[in-house]
Amino acid sequence: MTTASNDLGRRGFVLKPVHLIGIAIIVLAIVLGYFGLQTAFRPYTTSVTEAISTGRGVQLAGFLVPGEQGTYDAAGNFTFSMQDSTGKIVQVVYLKPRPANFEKAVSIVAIGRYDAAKNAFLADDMLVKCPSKYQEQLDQTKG
Amino acid sequence: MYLLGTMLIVCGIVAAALASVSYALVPRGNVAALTYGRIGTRAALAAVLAVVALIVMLFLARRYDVKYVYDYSSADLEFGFRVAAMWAGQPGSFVIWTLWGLVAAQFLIRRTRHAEPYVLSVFMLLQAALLVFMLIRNPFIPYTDPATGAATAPTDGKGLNELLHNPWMIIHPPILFTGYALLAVPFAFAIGGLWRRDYDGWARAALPWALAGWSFLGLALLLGGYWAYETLGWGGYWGWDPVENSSLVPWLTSTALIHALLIQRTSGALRRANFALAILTYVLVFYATFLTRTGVLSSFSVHSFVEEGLKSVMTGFLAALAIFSVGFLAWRWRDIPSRPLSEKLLSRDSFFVLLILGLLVIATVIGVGTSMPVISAIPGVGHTLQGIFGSAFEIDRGNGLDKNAPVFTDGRFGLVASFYGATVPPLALILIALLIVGPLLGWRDANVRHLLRTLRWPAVAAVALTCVALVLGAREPLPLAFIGLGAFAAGTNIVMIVRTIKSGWLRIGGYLAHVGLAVLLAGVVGSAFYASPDQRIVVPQGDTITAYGYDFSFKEWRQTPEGKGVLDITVKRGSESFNAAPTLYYNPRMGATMATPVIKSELFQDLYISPAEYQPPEDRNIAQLVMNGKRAIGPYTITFLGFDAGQAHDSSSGEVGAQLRVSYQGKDMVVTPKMRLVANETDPNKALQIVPADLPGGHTISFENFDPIQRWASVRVNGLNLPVDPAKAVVTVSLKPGILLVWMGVGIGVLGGLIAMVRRTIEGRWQPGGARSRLPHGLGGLARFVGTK
Repeated sequence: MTTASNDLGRRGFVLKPVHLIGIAIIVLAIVLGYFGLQTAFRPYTTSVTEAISTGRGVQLAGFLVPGEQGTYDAAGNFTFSMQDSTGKIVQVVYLKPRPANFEKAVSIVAIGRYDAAKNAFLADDMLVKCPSKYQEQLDQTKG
Repeated sequence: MYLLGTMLIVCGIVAAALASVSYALVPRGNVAALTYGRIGTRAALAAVLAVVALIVMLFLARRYDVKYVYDYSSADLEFGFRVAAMWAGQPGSFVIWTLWGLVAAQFLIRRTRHAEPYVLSVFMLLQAALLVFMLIRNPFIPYTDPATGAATAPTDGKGLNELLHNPWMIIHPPILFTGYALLAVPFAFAIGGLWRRDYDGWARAALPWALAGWSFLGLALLLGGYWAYETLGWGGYWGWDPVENSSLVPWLTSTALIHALLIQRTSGALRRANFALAILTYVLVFYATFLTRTGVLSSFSVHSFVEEGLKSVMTGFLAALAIFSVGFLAWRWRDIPSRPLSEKLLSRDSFFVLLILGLLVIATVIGVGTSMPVISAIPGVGHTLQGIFGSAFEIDRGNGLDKNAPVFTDGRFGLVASFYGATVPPLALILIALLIVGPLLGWRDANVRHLLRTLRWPAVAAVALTCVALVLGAREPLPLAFIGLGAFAAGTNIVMIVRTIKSGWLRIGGYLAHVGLAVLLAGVVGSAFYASPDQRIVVPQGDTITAYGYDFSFKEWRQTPEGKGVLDITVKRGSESFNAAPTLYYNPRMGATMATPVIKSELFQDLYISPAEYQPPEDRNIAQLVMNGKRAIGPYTITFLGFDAGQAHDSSSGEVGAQLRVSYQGKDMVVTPKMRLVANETDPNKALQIVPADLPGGHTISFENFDPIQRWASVRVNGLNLPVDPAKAVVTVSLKPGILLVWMGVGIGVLGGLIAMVRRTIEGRWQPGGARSRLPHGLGGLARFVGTK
């Protein structure tokens, strides 16, 4: 049924169809993982300059510019300006409805990439952090 | 209360530790220690029950001098929620987790027979560890005034988070922790088996526990998904969020464990794999807790993960658990005899092995993807990985990236949900394909002719359903493959149910779970591939806007007595009409506005209405201006220059004016409309006088309102009579097909798991002389399961 050439060298190990299918599953997972990674990879940065200079999709963590309420642009997208700890400001266009807890945001992680043509950071997703949570966090680090 | 509660927790720890140590002494010949082990196990449960009773009592008695009660409860909570609030926070969830674990432990006493000291020694050690976590996050700490640091008793608590103030909150956490607690039992059996050098008996005993844990964890995933879908307004039941992923991964490995245990039961093969899977599953359960409870993902998840002060302890315990159990297995590895699997590809042996491999591959993909922020946070690793990825491929999808660009300063990175969307569905397709043929095969071999004959009708069903999908408009290969193969798999398993149900309903559990999976799949395909995009519609009051064939008319915005805002919307399709009232409200506890969607469920699709915003009516004659702000009202462009607190004409009145620059037909002028406060005036209508200023073009402008701190002024142009814009409701609308099938599928699957658990429990019972137990028919099975040994 099997020939010597199928023997991988380990005594008694013979490459059977079930092994081939198993290897195929693993190879498929690696290939899919490689392509998945290409589109889903999002480095984390706290610097607006870094987010602008790269063309990559990033997770940009920053703060609302004080007094920022956010508005809708001509295309109906929610937009606001955000700054990093150095004070560098970037306009963010959010491609989804306005996040419910936006007005109370203390810090924001915008996931997306900077579009040089539109001169804005296009965010596909956003994590909005609110002061009460921070309060709780502070409480707990103290206790 | 602090002292009593802490004492009770310490009692629990001591009892659990006593049980663990005493049981450990039994194999060394100290038979008397067995009694102490049993007493310790009972006493630990008693202590935890007392802790639970005390916490419930504190919650019911509104003891806000206890910080945990203060943080999660308030006077206005209903009775059910005042009890359920006890598991709203981390200490409470450890209480529930340990409680279920200790309840399970009582069923291990005596019934595990010779394995009892080994299994319970391991199991009680785990419970002791959970109790230590509970002690660190002590729920009985008194409330202290943040300003003075003195212990006080506030009159009311902060209240339960609105998101948790929901019926799902009452059932979801206890079921999740039942799953977590039950999956510790196979782990304890595995370690006990390694210890005893009993490499087969443990597998038989662990199987029903693995099935029970699998069912409860699956149910918890369903409830969590339903909660997210129905209340949290995320728009879906599954978002590949770390919280969801981290519970899904142990569920996948426990599925693999169940199948591997079945192989070992039948042929004695896969002994080593079963030890590895049981250990892996429990380590992953703990890893899930680690990911979600230590704040390591706080920058990467929509869930608000907060560092809860357990990071170092939990990391240490997780590492110890993994190193000890894997090391123990490695130590025994060569001692475990191995048996060959069937040589034939067309055998359950081979199909199960491929299924286990497939499940592990998916679990690895999801687990590694979810862990990326943690892995890349290890100093050096993140930068190295980013460097490797950066040189391997253009990460930016070809936006002219310099391949030699420096890696990001902050080495961490994460993966967005598209990663799972790209990887998991094709891999899942392989598992479905295995499901078509696998159940028809014999354990060691199969008759190909019989096989093909059985597959005829399921194949017809698969082709028919694929055609239906084509007619309905499905074109992409992946969803079509899922529908076709899923229908095929469902057909095969229904055939198997029909064949086996004659020999007792207890035997259909596995096949039923497979059918559930196929139904779930149909729902997932519908909702994932064919959900309509979110359409944002703005409905002016009294108007009607059409989206997806439904007419939406906005009646009014009203406030409920609890201060929630309700958008009163009437939805109409044809002659059918219903009232939708999605709510929007500010949640002070979250510091956020919460949106509760309205869902209209039908068999094949859900209409999902999520409130986005309420825009109050806007009078176009009025402009609210900040300093140097500019607005147009009709033909006038008005700039607010500043307040003008001019000297009043007589000393009995005060004035404030708004200095405005008005541009009209290319000419600029400065006007100052005023508000005058007249002293000694009893008529309130005359006390405050609005003094308008004249504008070119025959209109006047008046100064109506201001805020000296925020420095804005509100002005109105009189005489233009511009229209008042009506109030608007902004909602996002989408159609989500197949949602009901998702819930049904998981429900069927869980039912199948529970039936299998009952069967394996009865089968696993010890019979005199090693006789095989016969499975009862009819409902006698339940009686046997519930009844005594």
